[in-house]
Formats: sequence, structure tokens, C-alpha cells
Amino acid sequence: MSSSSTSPIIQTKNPEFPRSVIYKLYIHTFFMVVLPLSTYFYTSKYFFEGEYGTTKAALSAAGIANAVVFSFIITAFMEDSGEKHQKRE
Amino acid sequence: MIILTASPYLWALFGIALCIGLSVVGAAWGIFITGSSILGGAVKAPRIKTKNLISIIFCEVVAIYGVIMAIVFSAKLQNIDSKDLYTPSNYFTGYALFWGGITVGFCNLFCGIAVGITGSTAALADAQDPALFVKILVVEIFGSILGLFGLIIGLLQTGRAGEFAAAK
Repeated sequence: MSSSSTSPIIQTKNPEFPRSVIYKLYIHTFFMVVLPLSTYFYTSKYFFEGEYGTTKAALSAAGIANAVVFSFIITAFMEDSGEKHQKRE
Repeated sequence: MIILTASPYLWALFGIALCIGLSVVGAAWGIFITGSSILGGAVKAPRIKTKNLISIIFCEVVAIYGVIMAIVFSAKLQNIDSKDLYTPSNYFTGYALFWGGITVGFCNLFCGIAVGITGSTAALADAQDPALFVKILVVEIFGSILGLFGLIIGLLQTGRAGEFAAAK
């Protein structure tokens, strides 16, 4: 195996990828899975009764999934512009 | 003759399997194309890492559409004895779930591939010129709407299909 004098130094804390970014990604992924399914079950049980109840519940779940995507897009763009201001200073 | 005597359960469960299976194939295909491009481009341009995760999220939304539809479809499954199973209403439910599953599955499959290839090119273009990313995002949004079309039509197809019910 190559000795440590020839291998490059591996950084465990990357300053360009701070922890807050990873937490936001994990949180959005978690909500992406949990929120639409729980919205579907909740609305189909309590809100939408009748013939097309499951259809409306599924459409609301799809709407919530798109809302999570939208919130992630906004978060990613705000972080990016935050980094640019930091680098300029 | 085999097709005429096939159980409605066959059609319904096959449709649910195709719905979630093909959606996940599309999402996975998109994610691996985009992911490998982001990782490759981030070697020289590390700033693209955070913004290009948007493409990954678009691909994952496709899989969530498949999961939602599979749950909606599987809510119509009931345990019916085989002598009461072969009613016209149950046949309609079986066929509706089969074709609804194919609709949702194929729409999500190609939506995932489209968003994946666009996302990978967006990552590489972003590495060269940061101003391009916002414009390519519009293309990805249009591609992601394709999955939503499949979901809506799948819901229209199966909206009137009742649960499996015993013959009276």
C-alpha cells in the first residue's frame, strides 16, 4: 500500500460543503418522502369523501411533493447567492 | 382464451407492479446519469455541488409520483373469494389498474430519463459558465411536468374503479 508521504492529504471537513447544506438536503429528502404520503392518507380520511375522494387526495399529495421541490430550489439558490456575497467580502 | 379467463387480480397487481417499478427505473436512471456528471464536474469546479442537487430532487419527485399512485391503486385491493370474483365491476377495476399503472409507469420512466440527461448537461454547463444553469432549469421544469401528466391521467383512468367487491 502507498505510504502517507505519496498519498494526498484528505480533508475530512470540506470548507466548501458546510454541514448546514447537508442537513438541508437530508431534511428536504425526508420531507419529500414523508409529506406527500401522510398528506394523502390524512386528506383521504378526513377531508375528501365521496366518489372522487382518493383522486383529490392524490392530487393534493402531488401538490405537496411539488411544494417540497420548490422549497428546495429556493433554498439552493439562496445558499448560492449567500456564498457569492461571502466570497466577495 | 387465457387472456379472457385471467383473474382481475392478475391485471390489478401487474399494473401496480409496473407503476412503481417503471417509475423507480426512470428515477434511478435519471439520478445515476446526473449524479455521475455532478461528481465528475465537481472535480474541477466544486461550486456546482450544491445547486445541481436540484436535478436530483426533480428525478426523485418522479419516484414519489410512482409511490403515490401505487398506494392509491393498492387501496382498491380486497380479499374476495374466487367464486364471487368474476363480476364486470371487478373486471373493470382490474383492467383500469393495469392500464393506469402502465400509463403512470411509462410517463415517469421517460420523464426521469429526460430530467436526468438534462440535469447532467446542466451540471457540466454550470461548471463552465454559471449563468447557464438558470436557463437549463426551465428545460428541466418542463421535463418534470411530464411525470405530472402521467399521474393525472392515471387518476382519471382509475377514479371510477371501485374496490374489489363480492358478487351479490
